[in-house]
Amino acid sequence: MQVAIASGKGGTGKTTLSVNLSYYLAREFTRDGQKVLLADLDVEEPNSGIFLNGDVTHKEIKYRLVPKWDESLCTLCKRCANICQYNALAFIGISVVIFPELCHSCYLCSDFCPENALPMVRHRMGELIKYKINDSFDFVESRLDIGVEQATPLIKESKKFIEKSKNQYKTIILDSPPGTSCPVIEAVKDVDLVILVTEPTPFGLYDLKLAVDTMRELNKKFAVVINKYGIGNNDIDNYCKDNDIQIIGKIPHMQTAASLYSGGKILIDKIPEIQKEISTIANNLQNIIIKS
Amino acid sequence: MKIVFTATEKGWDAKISKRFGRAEGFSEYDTENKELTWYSNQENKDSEHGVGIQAAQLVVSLNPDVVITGGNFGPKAQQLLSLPNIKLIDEAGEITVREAFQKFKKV
Repeated sequence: MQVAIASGKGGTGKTTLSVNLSYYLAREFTRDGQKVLLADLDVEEPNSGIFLNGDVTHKEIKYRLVPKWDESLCTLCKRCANICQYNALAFIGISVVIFPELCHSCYLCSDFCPENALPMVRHRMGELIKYKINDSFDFVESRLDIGVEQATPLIKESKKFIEKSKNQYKTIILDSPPGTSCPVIEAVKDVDLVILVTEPTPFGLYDLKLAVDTMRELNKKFAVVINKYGIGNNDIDNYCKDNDIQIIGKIPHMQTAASLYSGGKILIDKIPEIQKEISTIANNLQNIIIKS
Repeated sequence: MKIVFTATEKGWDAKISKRFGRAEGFSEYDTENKELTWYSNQENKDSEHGVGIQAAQLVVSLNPDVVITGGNFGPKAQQLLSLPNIKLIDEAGEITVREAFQKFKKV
């Protein structure tokens, strides 16, 4: 099964849940060589790796395709600059200037150029590294290069990489980017279940509603985990109840959790209350997946 | 000589726009025929992406010698405007097109 951990609001605990749940599933829900894969798809700021130590088993540079201007073939017809929806090409004097950071790799200019003066070429966007954490736990981290503006193409490429080896894994957990825009949609679009992590604050509730609307629009099966449970009020509980949304776990708010987190530590090894809740989430996950 | 000003509206008494890509438009002054011509940027200024690039293409097509703006040009517009060797003056501040021209003459 593939599960994406997402949220509307940032900082609710996607990485905390992703790392601790993956670690728990790898330890408790695998046998006879079964494995769990955690992939950090929050490519703009991947941080799951801070909590995990392992050996690099694979590394690759990721590219996307952008047009390159061939001056010798160009007849300066301006068609490319006129049709680009993202203004990624500019026509200045007698030259075409390309801005790869604005290009969405749609091929429109390249395909429409009557002289074939805009061939698509590889443009580096980031890298993907795979680690072995232990015999039942692998980890993939994708990281955008500094200055690269678009996360979605790297998320897409990372998912292709995961897809190739998906049969090796009993469970795949995807630590997704925050928000409800293209990178999140790319991350969650073909998973079996999305866990929306939220926190009991007005911001948490507001962004949870946006995330729920997004999941419903995408027709995705989803459930909610409330992190930092105990602060704030019961608005999230009530919202989920009123909207028939299943809450599959409530991770208690604890100062010790925050200190361990800031030291890059796995919480379930040190805090029994959190291990208990992660175990509840893991069991609920199995039940949801079995039922569907 | 042709001078282009980013401006909030047409005419000598309009304020210089602090933004280049999202300026309301551009006033072009030709020192030979002493005419001030207005070019609206309405079509570009509310685009989501690449407004600086669109505006720079418009301005470069006017073939100016100097471009004056109230704030910054923005990195992409600056890159494009530099290609044809246009003299760029930024941070002109919140003054009118007339005041900007008078200041420029003194330099």
